Amino acid sequence: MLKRWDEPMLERLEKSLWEEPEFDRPFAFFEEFRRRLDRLFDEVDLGFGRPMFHERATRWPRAYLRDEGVELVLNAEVPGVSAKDLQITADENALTIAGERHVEKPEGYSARKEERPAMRFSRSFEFPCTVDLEKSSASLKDGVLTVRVAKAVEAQPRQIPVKTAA
Amino acid sequence: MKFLARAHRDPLERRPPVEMTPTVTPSVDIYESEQEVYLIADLPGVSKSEVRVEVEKGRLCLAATRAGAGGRPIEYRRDIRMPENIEAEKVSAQMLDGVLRVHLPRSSQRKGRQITIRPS
Repeated sequence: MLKRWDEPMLERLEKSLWEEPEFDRPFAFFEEFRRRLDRLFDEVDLGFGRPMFHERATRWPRAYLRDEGVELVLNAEVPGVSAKDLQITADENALTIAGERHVEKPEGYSARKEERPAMRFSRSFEFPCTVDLEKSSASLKDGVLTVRVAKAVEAQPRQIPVKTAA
Repeated sequence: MKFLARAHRDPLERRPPVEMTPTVTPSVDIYESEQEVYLIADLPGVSKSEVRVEVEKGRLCLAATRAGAGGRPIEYRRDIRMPENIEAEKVSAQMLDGVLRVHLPRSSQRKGRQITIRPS
């Protein structure tokens, strides 16, 4: 949304502001500065008028992948998505959840706020270790998808017994 | 305003760590018709018994808690302005797949009483 100032950009700005003086426009510097500032705000503004904390600012669905020792567990918040609209695929490197959310607009009503857009989504999560896809499962409850993938035996934590010297 | 006050505090001031459950503002759709207000809210992970909907005069309070990922609780909260003429007793709500739907019927009688002026 908002670009960071990088070196070449700064150089160009300085050049255009200082090295092309216009003697017949004494306030050219300020005009140009203001114009740029306005443009900057316009860019930022893109986010404010609309529901910014939804599909634009954050990736949908919100999801967490965590390591539970013998398995990896992914939780994704997919309110209003039914199981038949979800596709979960995995290979040895990554897990991908994709799907579609339908939003029904009631008839005969006028909308006052609409923050829940209908959408298509796809997100991938890289596995941090080798996994055993044969032992994986997925469930959906109260709009939260849970995918469990077992870690490969060599990636599972092991207890190392401590021997005492005789 | 509360946010501003917090932002302007001395950044070097030492504050005790606060144990807080994260509060999330749920996304909502609000539709209105002559008869009612219809509210739809995304509350993923919340079951029916964990939602609280309160309708006061001109205000709807939506609150829910859920056990978060890894056992950390998450709190959902949102206050929404409502028209004054909602009949609080007739509000109905249902929860399905992490989506809350609330029907808030408006009272049929007009706000403000008509006063008949008797001839003297």
